Amino acid sequence: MIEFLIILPVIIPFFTGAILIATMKSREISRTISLASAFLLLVSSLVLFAVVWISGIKVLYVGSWKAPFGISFIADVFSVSMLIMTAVMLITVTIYSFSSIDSGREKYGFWVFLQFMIMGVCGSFLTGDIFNLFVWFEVMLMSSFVLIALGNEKFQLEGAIKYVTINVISSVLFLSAVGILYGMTGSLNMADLAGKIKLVGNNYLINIAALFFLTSFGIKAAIFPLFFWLPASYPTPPIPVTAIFSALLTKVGVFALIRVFTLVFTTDVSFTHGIILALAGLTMVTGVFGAAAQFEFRRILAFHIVSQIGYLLLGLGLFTLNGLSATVFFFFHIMLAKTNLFFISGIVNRIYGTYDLNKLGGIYKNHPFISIMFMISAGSLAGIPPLPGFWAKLFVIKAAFESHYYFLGAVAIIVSILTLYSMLKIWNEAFWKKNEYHFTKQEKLTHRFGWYAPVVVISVLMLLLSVFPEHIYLVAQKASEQIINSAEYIKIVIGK
Amino acid sequence: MTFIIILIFSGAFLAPLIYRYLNKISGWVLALFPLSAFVYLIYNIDITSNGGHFTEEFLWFESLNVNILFYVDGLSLLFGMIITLFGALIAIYSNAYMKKYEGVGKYYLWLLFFAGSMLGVVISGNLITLFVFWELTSFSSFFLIGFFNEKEKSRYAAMQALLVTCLGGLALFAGFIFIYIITGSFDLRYLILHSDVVKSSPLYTIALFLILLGAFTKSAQVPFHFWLPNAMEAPAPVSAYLHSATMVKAGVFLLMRLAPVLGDTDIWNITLISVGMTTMLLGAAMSVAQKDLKKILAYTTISALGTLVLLIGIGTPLAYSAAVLFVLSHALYKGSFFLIAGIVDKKTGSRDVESLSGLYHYMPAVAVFSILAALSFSGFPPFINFISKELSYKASLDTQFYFILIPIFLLASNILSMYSALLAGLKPYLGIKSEYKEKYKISFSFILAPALLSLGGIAAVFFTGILDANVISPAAKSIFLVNTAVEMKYWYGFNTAFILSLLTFAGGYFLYRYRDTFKFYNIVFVNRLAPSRIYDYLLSSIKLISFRQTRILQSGYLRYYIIIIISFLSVTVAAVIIQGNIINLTLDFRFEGIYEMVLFTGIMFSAILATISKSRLSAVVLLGVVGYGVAVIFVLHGAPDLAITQFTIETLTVIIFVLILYRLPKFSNISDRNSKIRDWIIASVFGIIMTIVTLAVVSTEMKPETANYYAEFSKLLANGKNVVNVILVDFRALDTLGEITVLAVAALGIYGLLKLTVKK
Repeated sequence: MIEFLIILPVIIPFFTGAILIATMKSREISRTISLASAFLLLVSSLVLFAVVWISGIKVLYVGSWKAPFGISFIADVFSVSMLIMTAVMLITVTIYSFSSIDSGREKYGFWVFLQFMIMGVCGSFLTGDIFNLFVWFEVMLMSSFVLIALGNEKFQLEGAIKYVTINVISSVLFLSAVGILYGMTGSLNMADLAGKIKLVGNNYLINIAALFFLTSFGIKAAIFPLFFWLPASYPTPPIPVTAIFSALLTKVGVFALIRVFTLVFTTDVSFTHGIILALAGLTMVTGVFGAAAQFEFRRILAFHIVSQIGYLLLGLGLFTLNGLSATVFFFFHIMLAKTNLFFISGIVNRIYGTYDLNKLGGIYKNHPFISIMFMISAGSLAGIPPLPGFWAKLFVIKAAFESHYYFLGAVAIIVSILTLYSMLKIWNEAFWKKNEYHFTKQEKLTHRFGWYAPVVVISVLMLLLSVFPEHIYLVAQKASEQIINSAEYIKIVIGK
Repeated sequence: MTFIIILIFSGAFLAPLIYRYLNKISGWVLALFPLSAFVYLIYNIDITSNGGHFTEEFLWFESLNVNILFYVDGLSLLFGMIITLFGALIAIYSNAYMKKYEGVGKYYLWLLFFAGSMLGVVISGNLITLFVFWELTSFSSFFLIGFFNEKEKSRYAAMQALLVTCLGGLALFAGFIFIYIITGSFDLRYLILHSDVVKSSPLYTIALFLILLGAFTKSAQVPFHFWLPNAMEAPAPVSAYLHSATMVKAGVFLLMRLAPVLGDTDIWNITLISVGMTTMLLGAAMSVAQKDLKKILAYTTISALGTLVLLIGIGTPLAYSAAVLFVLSHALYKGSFFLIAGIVDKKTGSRDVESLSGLYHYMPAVAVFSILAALSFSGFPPFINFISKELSYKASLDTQFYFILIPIFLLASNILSMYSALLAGLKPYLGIKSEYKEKYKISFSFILAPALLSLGGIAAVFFTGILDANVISPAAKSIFLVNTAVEMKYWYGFNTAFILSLLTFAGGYFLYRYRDTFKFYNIVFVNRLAPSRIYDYLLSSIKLISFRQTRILQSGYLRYYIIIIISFLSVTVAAVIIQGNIINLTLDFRFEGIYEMVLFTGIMFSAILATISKSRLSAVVLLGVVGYGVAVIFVLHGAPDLAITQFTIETLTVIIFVLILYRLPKFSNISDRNSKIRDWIIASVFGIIMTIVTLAVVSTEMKPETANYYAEFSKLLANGKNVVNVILVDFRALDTLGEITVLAVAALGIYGLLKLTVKK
């Protein structure tokens, strides 16, 4: 019975989404249901976490069809931690949307699409079946596309077209990859694939399949040189959409990469993970350079997402216990910091009417509270100790050095300085500079709770993570152990 | 120890409130926080004065060996006393200095935040906690340097200081990680005991290099010194506190702290001596070319920091004692100098030593304290600085490195520094009266700190014994780990060091006396020497690279994005194909009957025609033909369900397409020849690769375990004869649920997209 918990994170948003279709026209009801469902998701994820933490990996055979014949849902520490983060992010975004999303979008299904997107995200985290993962990706893609496009604002459609085109290419490649894999092994269950792929015997062919997955998931994860859709589309929709995207979508891509490249494609690590390492370095560098060229709040942040993905990838590429636990820890840090920064940019935009650093100014003087919130998140992103970003970078760099990848460690460090530079640029221009544009509208913030509460909550979480990094580190360590010792995972899923 | 750290930090967070409610006396009130910390340290001086240390440890991050460990020995105590005492004095001084500015509450916050962080650095016994505090000093100094943040220059200086020190900080961080990799510990006590392990490791050199980089950037060693003069944009109390007494000495402190772990190897000694000597001389040389009071002080500070690094590099007990004493005496006179420069600037509105003169008549008290500081700076007896100069001469004469170059450099730089000292401390007050109004009123809180510091330099005379026994010797012992009895005396006999001292006085006075003949201001080359340009150059190249890279990669054109993505996959897969030689060309072209061959030809023909067709309508129809053809293949291979689905989809697609086509603008061909060729190549290559991969996959032997299971148990367990349907609704029902969701979302989405247009 306890296995039923595993499917809840998919069921909850599914039914919520379905109900919300009926209540679409009533804002109050939709909001209440959405928020309640987000909390429900959090609770169920927390309970599931407790179960997994105490008694190890849990598996649910959907329809009781045993692996590898049916679809299996698997809850391990990594996936459930991601579920918890998803729920936290959903709660904050929901509250933030109360203040910031317009009634038009609400009435035309904003809440519905949000829930279905979360369904796709949760499904992706939980599934143990590679084709089923494809389905969740589709759910995610369709909902996120509508979220990006909804509203038909001037720049939205352009971003949305790029978003959907490139992501459909990703889907096609994903499907081809599944086809190739199925053609070689006759299986779709990842735990089963792990064993069967070793029987294929042709390493080159496996590597080709690996490259297809790398490209497809790489597009989702926005790694170099596949990230274009992200900076093109993220700055276009309303902030809550950008915020939840930045928290979850690319992360699902990295998550999928981790699943596949620790479970299935481990036959020729020097090739596959060598490429991942090289891409990790390039992603960090190109992302941060991309940010340095921008002068718009959201665009800077969007490029930094790319750069940070490089750090996540680095731990995967190292393929060591410490490397992967660094990556898992980094997930926590980056989801919090990035979402919060987008939230803050939204508040700034609401008050000052622009995202343009040239036109902004004087926030430090006029709004010290926003400044402090920004400082925490930006500092964390730049790795100022003892903020979570510092710990995350400590683990990543340490893991790189331990595996003798000194150069990549150095790259991670230099990128960190450039990140600091970017954050200082925002700080100097938007917060410190004298505001020369008094004539632009300076609105008084209404519905302050909705604007500030999410930012405060995330900042508090970040501060907690700064002061008590060990607890999360232990979670990351445990998650990483389960990922590295894939034999355990396979045994539990296949039941042999 | 925890207590005083918490005390100072809570002071920091209370500062804005205290400022708001106790505006006029807030500086005095806030001074109580560091002052009580100072008293606490004095109170506990016994523990360290006999060379001992005490520790306090809190478990924090056990699995990584990172605990909050406070380790207080003679060295920490000396620095801790400077930090807390100066903190109090600076707060009092700020009470007067910051009176008329906005945002002073935040200023006090960062000031005390800095004081707490700095104190944290010197009492940390764990490398990571040390690093945390270290970065926090950089971080808080950013806000202090950028206090006048509406000024462009100020923002520039703050950012520069932070970037340079953080670059060093990250190097330091990497160095610490290497130490951890070598020893498995961040704990200073453990590291001191196992210094031989560190030094014999192959990673020692890189770790050392990185840590030195951190120390050198923080302590403004050449070529990283440039941020310090620029940081003079900060308010005077900040310069006095951070840029003379405390933060810039953090690097020096770190070297002293880690000398027992990393020191006493040739590479350590030679690097420190070389960098220290260079910085010492260049700093002094650059100081003489300055006109701005604060700039002079900044460059002489660089020189002093160089001297300290040099002394640590020499590495004898004598040198350590000299260094420790110099830390103290330098803080006293330089702090006073900076504060006085602040008063002069504030009152006269000028910091230009060339134009300032005769100030004695307007602010006699300030003049007295300034002259005292100048004399102390020059190293005249009986100022405490005299002893430290003597000791450093003695230390420089007694080393195996660089023959006699070190004393010569030291002499040269001392002469130049003395000139600067006289110029900055003496010249503005003497000479003809300038056209200032009447006497300046200088409030008590303004003059208190410089007065105490200037007098402290001379009052120390009476306490040399106590100072030596309780502070200086224990501090030196923390570095060398053995008791070193270097007595602080005013008369060590008529020896070489004394002669060098005399030479310094003569040289310094000579330069000062004939300054109009030398015209040092005109020596422009020293200003050209500024690596600040390298920094600017680096920064602008980063911007340039960013713009170029972004223009190429993030071009804004979807077609280029797709080209890059497809090319990435093609190139990597092609490489594997070639490497593995997996091209399987044994194509089996036997068709099962003539209809299969016709079908094949039809599909291929339509596909090719569709790509070259000039009309949209025919392209759509041709694609429909391809789809139908594939459906027929399904029929031939025993999958009628699949075929029916495919037929339906194809029919619908063609119908919908045809309906839409009428509403689209006319088809126009906007690609030029070159891009057409490019697209052809990319598409063909990718097509060929896909074909090769497919053929290769088909040739591997699949184990149809799952497929067999479905066929076998579809009827038996799932009660369905049609296997495909059972897969869809039972075996893999979740997939179907997901796809239904996709369709629902799509339908709703289309509705929303058509209906809703939000206008800004």
